[in-house]
Amino acid sequence: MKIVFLILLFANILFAESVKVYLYTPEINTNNFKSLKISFDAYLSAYGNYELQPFSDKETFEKYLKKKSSIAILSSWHYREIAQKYNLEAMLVAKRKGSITDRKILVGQKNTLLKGVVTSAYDLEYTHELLNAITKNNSKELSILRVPKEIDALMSVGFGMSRFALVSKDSYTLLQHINPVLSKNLKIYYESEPEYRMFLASNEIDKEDNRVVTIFKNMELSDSGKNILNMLGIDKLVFFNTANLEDAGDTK
Amino acid sequence: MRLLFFISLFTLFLHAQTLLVINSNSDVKKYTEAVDEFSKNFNQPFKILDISHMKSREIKKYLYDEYPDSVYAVGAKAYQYANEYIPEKEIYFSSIADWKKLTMEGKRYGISNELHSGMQLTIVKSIFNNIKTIGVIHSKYTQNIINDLSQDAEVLGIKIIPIKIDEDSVNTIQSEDTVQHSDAMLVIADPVFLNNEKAVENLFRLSKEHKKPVIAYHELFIKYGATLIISADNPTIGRQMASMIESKLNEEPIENIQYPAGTNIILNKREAALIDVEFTPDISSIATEVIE
Repeated sequence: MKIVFLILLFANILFAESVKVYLYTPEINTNNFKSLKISFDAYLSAYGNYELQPFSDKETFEKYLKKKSSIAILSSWHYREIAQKYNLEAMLVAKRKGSITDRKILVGQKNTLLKGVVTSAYDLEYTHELLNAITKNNSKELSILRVPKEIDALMSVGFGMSRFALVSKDSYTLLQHINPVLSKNLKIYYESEPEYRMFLASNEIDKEDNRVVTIFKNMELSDSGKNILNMLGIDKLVFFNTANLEDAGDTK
Repeated sequence: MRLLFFISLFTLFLHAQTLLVINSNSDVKKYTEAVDEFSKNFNQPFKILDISHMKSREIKKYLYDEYPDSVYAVGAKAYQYANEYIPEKEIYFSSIADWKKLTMEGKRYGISNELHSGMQLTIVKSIFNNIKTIGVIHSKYTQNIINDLSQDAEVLGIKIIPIKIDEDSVNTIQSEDTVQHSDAMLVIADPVFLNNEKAVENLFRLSKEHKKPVIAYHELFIKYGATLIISADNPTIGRQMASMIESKLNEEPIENIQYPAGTNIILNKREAALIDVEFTPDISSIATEVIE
């Protein structure tokens, strides 16, 4: 009897489908997926049969979200766009340097007309949307060059490969700290309203919700969890509720 | 009315620019990455020619038959053929090590294979905050790189310590003192130094002994024990070239020779731990890959 039970248990473990955590956000460095997945899966395996599935393109990510019981990590911009369609509810929001929001800025060389190449580390759709929003549809003469990272976008302006860079204010602050001489020649032309950092959202019908939320919420408490948060470029994940709105910690 | 339409169409046809992309060798990853990304981002018709298995006379015939208005040459071999057989045409180039050695007459535009030294050093500074001195072994062939590095390092509060070598002294480089007194060592593409494997191995051995990180420009150096690799991102080069040619076609001003806009950064965390060197906690926003 015991043997049958063990065989059934083994088969159950063997064939049990892992719970996938889908990730797509144009705000993190997409080439880092390999080490991000290894670290994530190692961390999550201590809590159950979980697995991270990162995506480098929006369409494929959304295709997978159609499946039931979705847990997703995505940008607040993308969340706003698809939350209703995929029945997603934001459970946690990322926090960095005491703030759950960030601003996007258009930085350029000083005394430059709004035309020429703008370097951006975000995907084309997001870049277009951001540019139109922050320049109030005044970006028709800008052409986009996608680069791997925000620091590349900024340095491209500084060293003359592009005229403008569309980046987060966090990255610009980082460059000002590392290379003050280079950033002295740059100027912020446009600045967005504060936007929430990335969300961890789940499908309302998912029964795993609370357990997964707790696992992610507690990431900041262990070294391996902190390492993953670092890879995502954030300090912690905090509960998303109306109280956050009062504690938004606007970074302007 | 119809006649006018056909005349306009014919005029448009006459003015349509033809572009040929020549890939020196489609088996070389960095060439293909640039060509693939160019293809996805260039919004006008063009043809691609892979010359890896073509004979010189076949390439010559193809270029004469096609006679394109512009060529995007990927790699030195492609550039040399285009420059030899259709020198009167616009030639764009990328993925060529030390492009300054090429014959450059006429309408030539390109993206260098090497990153701007200021970009390299800004990345170094952003990852290793405490670095103040960097040792570099070089010969007369790379003196210009040392000059650029020294100038750009100064504004970042870094001092470059050069060790000059030649064909005779490469076997007996006295680098221990420099390694000891530098916070890091930087490997540049110096032909005299790199042609002597013993000298390269010796530098990595000394750096490990003195627990100093070695920064290099190609992932090949990871096997020797490099801690950080900083190189140009090849797909970005393809996109940058698409943007460059489109700007030129739209008669917008462009820099004829540009530095790559994207970087490929690999941090060897395992090596960093072995030599106990600190790096930024923000590594995820800077590195392309972290070797655990």
